[in-house]
Amino acid sequence: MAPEPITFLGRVKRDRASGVVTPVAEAARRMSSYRVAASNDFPLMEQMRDRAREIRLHTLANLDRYLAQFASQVEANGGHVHWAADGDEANAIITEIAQANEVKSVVKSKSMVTEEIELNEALEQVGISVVESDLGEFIVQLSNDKPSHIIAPVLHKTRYDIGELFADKLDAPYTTDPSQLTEIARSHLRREFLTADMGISGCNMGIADSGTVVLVTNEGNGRLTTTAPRIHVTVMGMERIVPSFADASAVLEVLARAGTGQRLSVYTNLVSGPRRHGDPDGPDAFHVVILDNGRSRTLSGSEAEILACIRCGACLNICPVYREVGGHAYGFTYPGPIGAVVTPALKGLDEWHELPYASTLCGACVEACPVRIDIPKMLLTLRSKAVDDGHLPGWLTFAVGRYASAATHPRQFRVLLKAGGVVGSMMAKDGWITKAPSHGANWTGARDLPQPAKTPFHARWKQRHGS
Amino acid sequence: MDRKGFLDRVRQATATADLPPVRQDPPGALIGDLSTADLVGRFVERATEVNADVRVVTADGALEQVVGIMEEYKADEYLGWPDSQMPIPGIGAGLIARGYSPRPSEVPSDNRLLHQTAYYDLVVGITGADGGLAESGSIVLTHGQNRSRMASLIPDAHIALLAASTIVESLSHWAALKSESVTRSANLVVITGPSRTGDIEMHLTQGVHGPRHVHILVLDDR
Repeated sequence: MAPEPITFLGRVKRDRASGVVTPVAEAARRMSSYRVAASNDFPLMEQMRDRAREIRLHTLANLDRYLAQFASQVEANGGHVHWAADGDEANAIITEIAQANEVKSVVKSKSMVTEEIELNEALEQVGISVVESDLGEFIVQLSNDKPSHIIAPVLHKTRYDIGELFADKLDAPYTTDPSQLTEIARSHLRREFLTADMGISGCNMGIADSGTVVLVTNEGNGRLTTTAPRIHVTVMGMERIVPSFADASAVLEVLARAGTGQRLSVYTNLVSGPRRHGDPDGPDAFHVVILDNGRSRTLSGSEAEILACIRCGACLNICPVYREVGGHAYGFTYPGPIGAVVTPALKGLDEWHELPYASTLCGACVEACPVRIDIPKMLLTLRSKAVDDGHLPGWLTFAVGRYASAATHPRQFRVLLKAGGVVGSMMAKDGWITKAPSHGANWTGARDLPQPAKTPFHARWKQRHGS
Repeated sequence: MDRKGFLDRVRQATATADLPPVRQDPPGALIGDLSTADLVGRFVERATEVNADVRVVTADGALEQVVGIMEEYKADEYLGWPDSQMPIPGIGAGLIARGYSPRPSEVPSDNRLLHQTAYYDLVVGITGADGGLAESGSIVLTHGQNRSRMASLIPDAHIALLAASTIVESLSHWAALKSESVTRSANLVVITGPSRTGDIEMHLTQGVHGPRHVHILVLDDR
């Protein structure tokens, strides 16, 4: 495999050339239309969005209190709570639970947070087999790929890609029929579910007053992961808390509508601890690993509101940039507008200062977001921080410096304008500049530049009015 | 990290968090006007929209319907809840009288794998439901003693028995009225139609890991 390009534009070029972004725009457009249809169909949608937003913000403002309550309730239910400052700590905790219980095989239901901390790699390193059970994540795992959408991980793959993959890796007869492909995965994964020692899930929400983990899936893999294996481990980003079941209901009312256009996802699974005395089935042990990994730093500053995100994917689907570049260009677990804020917020601007620019600031994401997070505002703040931190390319610093000087010195400004007109006219053909030199190519590589007027406006004004 | 250190860090962060003004008390469920005059009618309509097969039955007619579904799948056994947990009486006893056999639902902790791998060929599961949600066409199941989780999860077809009198307007109503349903059991699940995926080119396929077919028998007990 070629090394991962380190710049956003490098990744965009790679993915546009390889064609993986081709299916993305159409799929994203369709998901957006499902969201709009489901919202129009629900008379309480706008009020419910306001309520869900109030709940998320109220919880964030009181997060320490609700986390403490949640942890105590999980323990009262017979579960174990672990606190992880970062991904390494979380991985070490989970590996330890696995090794202490002689776990050989793990089955996982879809979870972004375990992608974030690269849990699979950590478990495989100590010889534990890990199988992803969400159909999309299973395909991602088989093809050694990365998810490109937070709720539809293989948006970027065609049925032909998947047919070849299953024929190659699973010895299945080649087919391109999605139903047959699904059937192949179902029968393959069934054995894994029913024989795995440990199930690992993410967490859509943690309910503080009952110590309950809420898992939303359509396939049923979330339920199987939390029912069949003898140990269930939930990895939870620390911000995923809501105060009560009643609060959770308001978030659930908007989550599926915004994500897939369903009224509710097929399975809303509420797990409150291990199986109780007399329960015929369910796990014997239940662990929750609560993860910080940059979240408390995010909460302490100007991007705190991004932690209200409920991970529905609506902002990806509506984003004109995401539709053009696909999910991998964002370079980390969380793509799209949410990723452009979350990644630099969690991991720092040093490595991720480009991402806040992966947006036109058009505001479509705010309109789509079920909890109305003001993503463009945070992108602007992050851009400004990136500049303060010195993360502006040298040529741009120079250019902006020149502009600042020219804009405050009228004579210099006029000279530059005139020079621009002359140089521009030399480069233009039929009124358009199609190929600019040096950094100008960043512009003309994607679109033409109109030829500047030979005589600047200033000069023409002077000719006509004499002053 | 220990609990105290972790929570101290979170507390410090909340002190400087740049958040819009927030409400002092937890806001809770939003109970708005959904204008559902006919709860059962809305439930049937919405559950049918998500590809569940819904039949309104009488107490006397329910068994025949269940037998009909069993015959449809050519099943002679099932995994299910006992009659004591069912909102429609006599289904289990009736099935046994007709020669159908229930599979044991107890998964022993010391012999989990053997017991669970025996579920591979399971075709039908029969459960009750604690309630229905009209607005989304969902059923609510709480699990616990005698209430197998697997019965609504592993088989190809899930038959759920629901009393019309337990249908409420929406999930928000359920959460506001029945918050104890979460604490009462280790597992509550809200099921909205058969298992599905759109992961491959957004092509809707039913029955990925959960049941491909969901049949809901609504007992008209109003």
